Amino acid sequence: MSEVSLKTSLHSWHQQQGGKLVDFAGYTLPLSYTGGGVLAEHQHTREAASLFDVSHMGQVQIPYSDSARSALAQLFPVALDTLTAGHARYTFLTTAQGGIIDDCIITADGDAGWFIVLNASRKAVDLQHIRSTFTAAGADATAIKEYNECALIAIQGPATAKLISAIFPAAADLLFMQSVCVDSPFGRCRISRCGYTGEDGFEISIANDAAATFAQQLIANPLCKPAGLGARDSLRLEAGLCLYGNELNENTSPVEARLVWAIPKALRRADACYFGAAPIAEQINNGAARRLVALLPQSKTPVRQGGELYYQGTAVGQVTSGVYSPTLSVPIALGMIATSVAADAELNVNVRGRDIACQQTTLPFVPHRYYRG
Amino acid sequence: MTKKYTKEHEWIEQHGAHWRIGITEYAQEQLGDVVMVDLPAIGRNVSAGEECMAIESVKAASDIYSPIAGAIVAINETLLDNPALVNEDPENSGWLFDLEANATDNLETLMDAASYQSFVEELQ
Repeated sequence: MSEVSLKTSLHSWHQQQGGKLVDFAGYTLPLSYTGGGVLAEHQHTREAASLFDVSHMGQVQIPYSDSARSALAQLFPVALDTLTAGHARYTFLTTAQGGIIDDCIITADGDAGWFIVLNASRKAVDLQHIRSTFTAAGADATAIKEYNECALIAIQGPATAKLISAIFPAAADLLFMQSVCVDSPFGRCRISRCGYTGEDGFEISIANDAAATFAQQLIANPLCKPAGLGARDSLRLEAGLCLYGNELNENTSPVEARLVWAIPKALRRADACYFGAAPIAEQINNGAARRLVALLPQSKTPVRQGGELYYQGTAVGQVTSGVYSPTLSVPIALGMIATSVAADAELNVNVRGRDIACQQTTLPFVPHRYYRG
Repeated sequence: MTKKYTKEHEWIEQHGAHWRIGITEYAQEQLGDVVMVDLPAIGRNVSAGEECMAIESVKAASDIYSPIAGAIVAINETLLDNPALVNEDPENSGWLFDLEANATDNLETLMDAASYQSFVEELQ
C-alpha cells in the first residue's frame, strides 16, 4: 500500500473543472482536464494563459539572522550579498561531492529573511538537510518554517500579465525573477514573476481558503484555462528546463547538467563556501565526464526517459526526458552523455527494436519569452 | 460473433474473414491525446497476449497486446497521418490492425460488452 495521497486546497475545484486526478509526489493533482487534454492545455499556455496548481511544492520561510545567512551560503551557490530584497534566483542544494540534492528558487525578503520554493518530491530530504546545516552552523533550525497554510498557483502564458495586474496592480512592475508581497482582495499574497514553461508568468502564494475563489475568478476570463501536470512537463521540456529526478539527482553535478550559469562567477572557486565547491570548480576548470544534451529524434517515434543512447554502436548515455513537442509537432528529448562524444555526433536510441537516430541541438527547443522590461 | 474485450482494454471483432483489433473508449480516455501510432509490420506473426505495437501520447508509450494468435494482414494506415482518430473514434474508424487467426480458443476467455462494462466500472 502506498501512503495516503495529500490533497491541495484546490482539490474540489479540480474535480469541478473535470481534472483527471493522479498521484504525483504524494499529492493528488490533475494530469489534465476533461474538455482540455494535454495538447490543448499546452497550446493554450503558449497562446494565452493557463493556471497550474503547484501547491505540492515546498514553500519555506527563513527569518533573517546573520547565522542563517552563513548557513544558507553553505547550502546554495548563491551570492546572498548581491541578492537584494524582492529578487529571486534559481539555484540548487549541493552535496559535498558536487551533486544536486534539489533545485529551487530562493527569494530575498530583506530584513524579513528568505523564501524558498522546493520540489515536492524532495522537500522532506531538503528540509532535513537545511535544518541539520543550520544546527551545525549555530543557526536556529527551529525558525525555519514550512508554509502549509498557503497554496501556490502558477499562471503562465503571454496573456498572464494583463490578467494578474488587473488583480494585483503591483505585479505589472515586476520583471522576470522579481517578487513582491501585497495585500489584495484575496488577503496577503506573494507574487513572483517566474515559472516553469518558458513563458512570461507568475507564481502566486495565496492563503489556502482564498485559493479556489482566486482560481475561479481567473478562469472566468476565457483567456485563462486550467492546465495539468502533463502540459507542465511538455512545456518545461520545450523550454529546456531540467526536472529533478530526470535530469538532476545527487550523482549529477551542475556542470554536467549545464547549470553553471546559475553559479555566480565569484563562487566558481574551489575555496567558495558552499558544499561541493571544490569538485564543482574542478569540473568547471577541467571538464566533467558527462554533459546534458538536447536531442531531436529523426522520426515520429518519441524516445523516452531511460532509453539507452548509442554512438556508433557504443553505449554513451541515457535519455533523461522525452516527449512529443506540441509546439514543434515533433518529438524532443534531453539526455546525459559522455563528454567525449562530439557535439555534432548523431546518436541512436533503440525503441521497440528499431534504431531511432537523434540529432544534437541547442536549448531551448522553444524560445523563452520572459519579461525583462 | 460480437465484440470481445481484454483486461488490457483492447477490443476484437470479426471483420470479413479476419479479426479487427482496436482499443476501447475507456483506454483512449486514459491515454489522453495520441500523437503517434506505431503499427505492426504486415505479415508479422504474433501469439496471444504478445506485445505487438505501441500508442504514443505526449508523455508516454503504451503497449498494445494481440488478443489472439495470428498473422497481421492489414493496418489502419489512416492513423499514420491522423493518430488523433484513436481518440475520436477508437471503437470504429480508429481501429488498429487486422489479424488472420491461427487459433481462436483464446476468445473464450475474453469479456463480452456487459462484463467489460462492469470491469471498467470497478476500475473507476
